[in-house]
Amino acid sequence: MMARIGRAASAVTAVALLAIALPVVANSYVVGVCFTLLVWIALTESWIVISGMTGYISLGHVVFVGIGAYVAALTWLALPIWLMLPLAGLTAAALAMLVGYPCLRVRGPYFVILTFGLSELVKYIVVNIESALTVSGRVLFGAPGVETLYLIALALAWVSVILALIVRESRFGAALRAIRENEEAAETIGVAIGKFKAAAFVLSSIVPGMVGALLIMRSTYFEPLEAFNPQTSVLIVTMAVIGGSDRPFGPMLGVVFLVLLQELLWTNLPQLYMIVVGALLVAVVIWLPGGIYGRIQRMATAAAR
Amino acid sequence: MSLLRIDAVVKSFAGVVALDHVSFDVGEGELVGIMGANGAGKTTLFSVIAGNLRANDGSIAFDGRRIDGLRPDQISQQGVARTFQIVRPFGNMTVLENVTLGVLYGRRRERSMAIAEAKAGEILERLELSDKAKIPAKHLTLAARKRLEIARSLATEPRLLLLDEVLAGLTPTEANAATELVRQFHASEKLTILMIEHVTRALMALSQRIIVLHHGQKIAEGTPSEVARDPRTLSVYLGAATQ
Repeated sequence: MMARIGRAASAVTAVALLAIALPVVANSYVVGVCFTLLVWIALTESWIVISGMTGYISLGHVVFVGIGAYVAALTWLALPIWLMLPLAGLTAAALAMLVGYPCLRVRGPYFVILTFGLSELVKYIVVNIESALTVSGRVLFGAPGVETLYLIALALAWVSVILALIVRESRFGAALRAIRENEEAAETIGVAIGKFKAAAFVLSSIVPGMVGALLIMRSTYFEPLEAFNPQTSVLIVTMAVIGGSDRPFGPMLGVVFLVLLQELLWTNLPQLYMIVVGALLVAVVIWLPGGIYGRIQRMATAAAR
Repeated sequence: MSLLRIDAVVKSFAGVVALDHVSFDVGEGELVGIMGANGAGKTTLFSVIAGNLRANDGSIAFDGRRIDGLRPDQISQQGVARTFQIVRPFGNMTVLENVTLGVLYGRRRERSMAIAEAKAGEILERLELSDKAKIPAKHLTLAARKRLEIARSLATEPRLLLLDEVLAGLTPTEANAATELVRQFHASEKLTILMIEHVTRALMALSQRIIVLHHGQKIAEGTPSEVARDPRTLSVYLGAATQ
């Protein structure tokens, strides 16, 4: 197992180490775009641990981002960043643990809708708490600059890719994929499916929680409707699906593709962005079921023959 | 002492009684056949033993311990494995991965992927699936998928194997090969086998004892020749008894 993931992990680590130098050589616009890229890589690679591996499509992953952001907003200046970030991750994990068992008992579209509804529920709980406290948005003074945040994003993206690689090739990941293929058969050969699904769900929530904290340090402003924006969940799914969601390298392609598209459209036709994303998702599901990565793999095997 | 003891097991679905106080024992090392028409409750019986369904009443003991009420993975840990009548391969995973999972999560609880794969390779060899090890399971023929179903169950290192119509849908040649396979495994592994089969000839040839189910009830039990002469069996299979 170690040998199999070794090569991919070393390549990822090498690229990550090189990327540390980016803020030195590039201007802050480029660093900002790369920050966005890394954030989305961290989110989609975390998402595939539950959804790519087990086939339980979470359309509510923004809930972990939002809760992480909320933790950061509440503890801002009270806790140092190096303590606040893990706390945001752990809070997301605790939430995943709490809702994981009940949610993961339903399959297919029911799970999709449940996760979506759950993230909306948590969003409005936070909205109501904030309005009861008569707070309308929290400003984070003294947040670090984009160069520092870029490095944190790089670390989180690295962690999530390595985690996805390890899970994909591990004993644990084999069980998760068996659950995706046939849950009843998996259970019958001895996989404790309830425990495994919940564990995958919790694993997939930690980095998104930390990403949430990171994102509001970037925007320096916490507003629940924005932090829990369901559009984030939709984009995670779209990126993973467009890239190809079974192997860790697939989603990365989807992220690069969509973030670049976003940069392009944002300046020219911002109102078109979500429409284009929706159309793309439909097109990929119909004509490119394995995503971009799946197509490349197929062409590679065809060429090898 | 019996390895499996089924005692007055009842299972009903919304008013339809699929198993009606079924009781029987299976001894260690025995090969017992289960016969019965469609809807007799045979597959339901397997699902209840393996924990995929929960019995409404009665008890099931394996090696002296109650297993009814346990989850399927816990029952698998005790040493009970089943195959599915409608095969359930992990379609997008390779044949080798399918069987490796059995080694990883069966009774052996193998921690090392490398050892598990080696062990799975041996099982594939015995079931003559080695040449298909790297193929996604969904691309196998039905006969091969049935063998894969057996291979994956055997990989969990069971003491009791429940075979649900592993010969159905196979050509006579394939069925003969599969029958021979079951016979070999029963002889060489000290494996206790309970098998459902529609191919009566194979069942008669293999089983030491046969249980006949009809509308959820056990109507006959005995050696193949006893059961074949039993008037209740004959009435089920050939229509009303001629007297």
